[in-house]
Amino acid sequence: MNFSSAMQRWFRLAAYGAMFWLIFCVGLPHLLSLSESWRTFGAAQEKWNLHAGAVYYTDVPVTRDTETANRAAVRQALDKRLQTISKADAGTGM
Amino acid sequence: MENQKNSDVVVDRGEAKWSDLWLKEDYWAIWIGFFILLVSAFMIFAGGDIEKKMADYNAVIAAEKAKPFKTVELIQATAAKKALTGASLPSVKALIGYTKTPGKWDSNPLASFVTPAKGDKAAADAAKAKAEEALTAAKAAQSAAADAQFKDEELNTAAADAVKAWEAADKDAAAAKVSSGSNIFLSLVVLGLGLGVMFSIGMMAMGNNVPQFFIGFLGVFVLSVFANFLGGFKPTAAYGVNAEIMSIVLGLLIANTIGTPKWIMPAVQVEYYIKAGLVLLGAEVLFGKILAIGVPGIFVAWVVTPIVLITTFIFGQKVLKMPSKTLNIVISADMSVCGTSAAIATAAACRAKKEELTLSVGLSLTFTAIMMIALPALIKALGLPEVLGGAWIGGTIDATGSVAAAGAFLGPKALQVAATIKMIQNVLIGVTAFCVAMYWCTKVECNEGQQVSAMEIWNRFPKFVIGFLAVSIICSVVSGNLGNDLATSMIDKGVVSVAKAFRGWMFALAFVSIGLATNFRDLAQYFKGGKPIILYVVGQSFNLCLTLLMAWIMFYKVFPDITASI
Repeated sequence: MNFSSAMQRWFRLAAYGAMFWLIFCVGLPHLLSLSESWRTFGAAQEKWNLHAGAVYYTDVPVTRDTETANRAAVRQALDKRLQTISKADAGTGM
Repeated sequence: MENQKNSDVVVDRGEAKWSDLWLKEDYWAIWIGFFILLVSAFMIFAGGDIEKKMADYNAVIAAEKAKPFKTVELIQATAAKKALTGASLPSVKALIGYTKTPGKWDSNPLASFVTPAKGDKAAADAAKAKAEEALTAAKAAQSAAADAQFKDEELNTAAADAVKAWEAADKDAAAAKVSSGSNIFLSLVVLGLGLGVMFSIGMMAMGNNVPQFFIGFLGVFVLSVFANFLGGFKPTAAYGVNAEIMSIVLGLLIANTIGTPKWIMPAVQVEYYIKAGLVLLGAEVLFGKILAIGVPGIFVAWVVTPIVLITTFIFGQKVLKMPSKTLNIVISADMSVCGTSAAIATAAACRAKKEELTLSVGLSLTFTAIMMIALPALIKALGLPEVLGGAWIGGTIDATGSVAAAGAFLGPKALQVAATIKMIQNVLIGVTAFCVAMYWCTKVECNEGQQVSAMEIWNRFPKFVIGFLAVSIICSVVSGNLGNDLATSMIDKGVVSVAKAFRGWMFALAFVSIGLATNFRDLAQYFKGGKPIILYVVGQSFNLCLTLLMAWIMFYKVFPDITASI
């Protein structure tokens, strides 16, 4: 590989890198920031400390709280159901 | 040549021998994963006396709850119980500290590595003194109420008000606390060297050139750090771009412009890193999670998902006639289960080519970015209730983080349901990887009508999947036996915290390696005819319809009482 072809390759890397950065990290976020929905979306992520690219549930800290809240909701609903059943049983004298 | 062939697929295979235990990377992935998990489990279970402290806090909470108002002791014990986690033990905290990734940043790139000192000492001291004063007043008011045996309503109300005032002052003091700055440069150096040594031991046992691997590894690690740094850029992170995607992009850019440097090539070990990462991921696959939202959650996540996965795969084979079965199953799993993590696990289980994994992850990212904004907008436009919307989002959007983000966009109830449904679906990746590996061993990698013996299945079966499942089953059983409080403290916020930190790095190393070993032209040929896109769109459309129907039946027809309680 001679010097000029090596330079060409490095130049290509810099050009592709710059192009990628301009499109995905400058242009697209700028375009999205013009949209009200995207701004609200970004604010919701900030508020809940979320990373939209998180790979697994353990990477989303809020999941721990949502899990606890859902377990409590299920328990509450089941308790209510059991109470209704036992009231109905008592009503029919079973 | 053999090496080249092996590096094209996500896992290798061969006839099983005893020497495989120390010669094959499948087993080395298991040993590395086990080693990290055992070290963290030892630190947590032997070092902290968590069990006793938890019992003490629970006793205080139970006793204080009997009193007519929220007491100082109740609040303190509740906070101490919440803070009592395996990850907060000094040794575990230090270990996790060494695995920190570059953080989020916006206009100042250095902020990704350096956290400046925060707070004003004078203000912090003043807030602390105010909190201490409020605490003394609250305790005095409590004592007065206790002296009257909590029968004097006026004293009870005064005590409750004093406790509330202390709680507020304590919060202010915590917010004003001075935090010293930190930077992660040194920890990154230690982590790079540590991971390099750990992987080198395996490479040495497998008969590879260790110095060459180690030098190359440092190169791959530096690129992973850079990818993590780019993945933390807030404007792009908001639409789902993560370190894994940046790792692939970075690797692809280098490989297809200047070419992957020869000195890095010995460390471009896609399978080795992926398998080790997957064994660690096993610790996060806790089967007890599937009951978090009761039967409705199981139906939305565990009944719909396999139906969509199998139907999409059959559609790809019979209707689209996908040229690659492995690409078909990886896209089907990625789309129906949980995005990138499912794609990685399935690709490794069926020996998919690295280009196929790259393509699936890219497709998933693109459609996730569209869906995470379009689906909440559609839900709002249709006027669907939050719980139904959350269940729909949780069951259909691929990436876990995007599900939470889309749920949060709709509201707190939608976030609660969406994140939990996705969590339940996440647990499916263990079963999916096992079933796919089994199907490939018994049906795909043999001639039609051929009977495959148990030994043959064992020979072909990717062994790291066994490590992955074993870790998942052990952690699930231990977690189940510990009871809710201790499981949360020692497993969820203990062992899992260590596992996920290392797993993240291993996936980043794997994705940088994938990029470094992939040619744009090789990648382009998989797009021929647009079949992968058609497969994804058709599968996802079916997923959207079935999930909405099932969520409506379960949350509004069969279990409306659970929905009302959420």
